[in-house]
Amino acid sequence: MTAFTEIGFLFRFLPAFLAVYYITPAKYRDWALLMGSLVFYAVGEPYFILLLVAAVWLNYLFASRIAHFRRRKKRRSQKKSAMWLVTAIAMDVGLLAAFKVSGALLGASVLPLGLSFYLFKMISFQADVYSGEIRELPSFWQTAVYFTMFPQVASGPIMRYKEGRWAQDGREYSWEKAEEGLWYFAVGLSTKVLLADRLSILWKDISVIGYESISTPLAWLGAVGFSMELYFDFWGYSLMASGICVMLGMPFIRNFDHPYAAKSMGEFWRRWHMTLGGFFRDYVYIPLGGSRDGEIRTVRNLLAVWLLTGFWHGGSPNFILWGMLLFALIAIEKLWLWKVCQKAPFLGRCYVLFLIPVTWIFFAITDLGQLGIYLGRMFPVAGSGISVNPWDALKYLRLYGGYLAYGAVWCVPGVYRFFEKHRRHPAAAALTAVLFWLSVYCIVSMGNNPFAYLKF
Amino acid sequence: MGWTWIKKCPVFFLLTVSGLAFSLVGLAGRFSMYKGYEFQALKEPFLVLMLEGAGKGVAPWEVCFGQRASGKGGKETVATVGGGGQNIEDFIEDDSGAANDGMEMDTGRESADGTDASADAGAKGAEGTEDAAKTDVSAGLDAPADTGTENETIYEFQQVPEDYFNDAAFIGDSRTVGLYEYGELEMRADFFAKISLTIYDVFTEPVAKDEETGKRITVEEALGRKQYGKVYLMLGLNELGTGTTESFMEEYAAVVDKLRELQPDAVIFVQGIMRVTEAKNESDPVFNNANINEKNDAISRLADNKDIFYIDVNEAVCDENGNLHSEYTTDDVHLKAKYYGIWREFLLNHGIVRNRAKEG
Repeated sequence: MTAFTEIGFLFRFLPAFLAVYYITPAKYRDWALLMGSLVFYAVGEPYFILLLVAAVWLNYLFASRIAHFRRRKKRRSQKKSAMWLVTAIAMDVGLLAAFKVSGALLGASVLPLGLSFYLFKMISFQADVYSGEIRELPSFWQTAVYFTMFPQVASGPIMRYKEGRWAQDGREYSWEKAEEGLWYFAVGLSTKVLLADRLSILWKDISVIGYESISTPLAWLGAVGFSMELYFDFWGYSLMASGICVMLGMPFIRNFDHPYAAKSMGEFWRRWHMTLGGFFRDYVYIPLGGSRDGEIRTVRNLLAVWLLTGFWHGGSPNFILWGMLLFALIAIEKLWLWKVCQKAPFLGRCYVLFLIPVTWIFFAITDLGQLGIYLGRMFPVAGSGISVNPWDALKYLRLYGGYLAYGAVWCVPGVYRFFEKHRRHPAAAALTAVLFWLSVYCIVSMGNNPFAYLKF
Repeated sequence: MGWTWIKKCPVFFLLTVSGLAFSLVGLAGRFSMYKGYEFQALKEPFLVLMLEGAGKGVAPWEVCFGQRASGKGGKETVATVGGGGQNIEDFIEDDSGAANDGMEMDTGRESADGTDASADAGAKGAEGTEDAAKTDVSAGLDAPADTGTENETIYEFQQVPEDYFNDAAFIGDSRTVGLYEYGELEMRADFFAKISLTIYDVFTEPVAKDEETGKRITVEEALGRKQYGKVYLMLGLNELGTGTTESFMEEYAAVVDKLRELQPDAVIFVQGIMRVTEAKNESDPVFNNANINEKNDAISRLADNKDIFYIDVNEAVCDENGNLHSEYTTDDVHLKAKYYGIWREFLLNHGIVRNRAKEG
């Protein structure tokens, strides 16, 4: 039920929760949200919910210490405030690192649901309390709602505490808001189910063949397919999460801004998983000095950000490699290429669209040996593959070309904006409904019949 | 509320109305047109029934016309094993006409009545014009079908050259699709294979292609138009979740009979289902090697070692515990492309060469 695409969430939890939420008087809706969120999390993680509750409680405790000492102007108090901040962040980062490292050592994921997301919310909260961005320490219950709210607890977006009027007394309730949120939700659902989930089968098919036996065109087709799958999966999810928030009367938190339309790598990363990028920008890059203290400092700060980004995505070495590759590309761009990208946007786009799929391959393949083989098929400079079927790309283009074509269109910002702008037009509304039910149909035909997905 | 309200939130309106309507249809049809569907009212909303039905071609408005044949539901349940949801079809585009050059079939001959394989037996005299003379002992197969009348030749597996496959047809599911794509046999043999093909739909799915018109045809039609020297069959993995070994074998035997009827002169190779890896074997309640072995035992009993032979590629691709070698696969089920050569070599080592002479 903790995935938004499960039938149990779509037709049981969400409608029931919305009904309870709206029946509850506006003054008490945070209680409904807190209870709903705890139920949601407990269903997914019956044991680790204790960890979530403990983390909420400890973080609030530390935050109140930070706030307490910060209010006094004495230097000693300021020092104590800083000490509590370090303690809180050490706990949060340590918890995350412990789970990531043990996961990497055990070779299996033992990460509690949403850990990396809710801990990042907590870290940002501590830092904002310390810096005074959050001037008055909110009540424990409001903080608990912020940390645990079910639309964001599993996979973000990593909303900041001060990001818009999400708190109970600032929420707006109207039919327009409900409609808007539902539209984001339905569009996100179909982006994920009708595009990302279909394209994920292409990626699986390629691994079944074995990377050493794919042709170079298929290797590229796979890389493009994976790039789209990853985008539609996460963007679709983010739209659903923010759509639910809007339905609850909160502001829309944007997590993706059509990244594949970027004209440089730096811009791509400002448009991709924006709440994570913003986190690293505000809590790592800028505190280290950003790009103000000369080129060497800038490069060092970028290195810190990308090492952490790599590690955040996973403990295994390929993620570190992936982070380092992006660091190198973005550093080169920042120092030399940036002006070229500005002057020749077409060139910039081509370079982004060519390089991004390559970087995603580092992200996709955790086994370094296999990663090398795949890259060798993309760039067949040293030797050819083994038992390669030269026509394989045609077969997969025939099977997945339609999804790739729809996907390419859906990557164009104008297409989305047009749909968004006219979403209340009868034709657009009907299309939204059709996409929604098609998605539900796909979920049902897979979920209800476990063998349908297992076809040999 | 009213018209302006609908204009204000059309998506909300459409989804609520359609959701309610779908639920009502599902509820109303629960025991009529959706009878026999796997459904747990506590776990799933009723609209699931309507969507599932729609996927099977049951139009929701049929609920108004009362009872629909309840048989439909049951029958369709079997079909969804292969066809559930958005099908990613995987037909083989078999363009090779190359198989013709190896044809040495007596196509003018009337087919024997398909039900009895031994009807042909007399024709296979013991004339030693070809390698058949060498054959004497059955290859250690427990084959009760071997009636063993004195003057019948018993054939033995032998090494054959690649052109052995020039008049071969392969029928199977995704594993056979893989053999087609990576077994380097596609220029010689004809392949009738498709992902999720089962013994139940092997003759009805349009997996073949008419060589002249390029139209999709069924295996039955394809085998009716061209005679082969060998027919290789490997099916049964997708069926593991449906029915019993008995019901499966009933269908399997009928398919083999039909093949015999359509291809009276062909050697039929019934292949044991390729097993899965240890990891899959231990975790999957359905697709495991105990189930596969049970089916394979039953399939092997169809062999008569005269014109129907059982071969088991597991001998070549499994480890000492009888599980598919884990390094041969990434999904625990399918061979990686570079290992299909093992299967081809196995087939080359298990050729049956019969004396082709007809009486006279």
